[in-house]
Amino acid sequence: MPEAGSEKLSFDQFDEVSQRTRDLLSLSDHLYCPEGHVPGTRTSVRVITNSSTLATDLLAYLERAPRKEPPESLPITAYILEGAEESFAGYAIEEIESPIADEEEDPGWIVAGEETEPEYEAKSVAAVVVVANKPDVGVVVAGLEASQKALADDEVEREAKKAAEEKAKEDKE
Amino acid sequence: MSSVRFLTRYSRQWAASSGTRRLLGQPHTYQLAFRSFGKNWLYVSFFGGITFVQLTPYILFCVFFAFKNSYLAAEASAQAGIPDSIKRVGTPEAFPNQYPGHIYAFNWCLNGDGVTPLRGSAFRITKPLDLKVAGLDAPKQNPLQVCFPSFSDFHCVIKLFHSSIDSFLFFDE
Repeated sequence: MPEAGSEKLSFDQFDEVSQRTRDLLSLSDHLYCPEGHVPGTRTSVRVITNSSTLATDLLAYLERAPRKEPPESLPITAYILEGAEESFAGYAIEEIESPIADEEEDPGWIVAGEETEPEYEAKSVAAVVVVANKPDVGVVVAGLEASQKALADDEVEREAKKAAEEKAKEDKE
Repeated sequence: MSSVRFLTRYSRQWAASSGTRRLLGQPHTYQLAFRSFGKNWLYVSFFGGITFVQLTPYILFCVFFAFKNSYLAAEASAQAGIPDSIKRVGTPEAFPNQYPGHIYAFNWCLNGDGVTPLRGSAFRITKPLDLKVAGLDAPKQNPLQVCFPSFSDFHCVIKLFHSSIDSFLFFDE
């Protein structure tokens, strides 16, 4: 499965197909959204599809994960459209800034009228898009596995970069 | 001349974490402004009052407790109309028009993912029981072992292309 940004698939092409797929999924009669972890990892996946058979298969494939309430966006989102005339498969890895969750119950004294800016951290997310008349579960799983591997690599790279920056700071001091 | 903003712990963040936002609608934020004119201070309150006062620790002490008491009174009056049975178990979170496949929180979450279920239902499936709720059959094989043509996984390739030598030649190409 090609990654967006590579020679085989540009980001523009991926974005165009991805947006069209989302629009068509929005107009579907029913949406099935199995969730879980990629097997052997703790990377959460949400699949959004209009295919009832794929939903069943993918729920069986994914490892069961804790159900979070309220629901939130997950690191990997797969958009699978069944019954389309065109055929497409691809995935994209993007880096986003997500706010760090404040776990403190009582943040203490805060200046009124001035919202404190939440701290952000860089995070990689993946989108897998599969469009076909009858999408194959193997293609979807290939996209999920490739996305998970890319996210894990990004995380390792980010940790190494962070460690190097901290070490450089310590050396300066 | 210098301006000072009054410090209060009844910020939006604190109000949200203590659950008062849901009870009161909008959280209370007390915005006060002080500006010094020699010994006297111009005091502009959130409610529109303008007064000249000479700030002393005693006045600051009184202002703080006045706002604290008014906040607690507002919170108590907001809870007054709620039956004890509901207060005992928590705040009401069910909406009368929700039904399986039409959960507001999940629909908003899907909206964040770029898909808005406009026509039909959107089922969040995290466990096999959710499949029944969505009207789907249970998976025949659980967990599902998917073998896809990943070039990093040689065993899968063997399974797929083991039939003839031509297939190996195809794989090598």
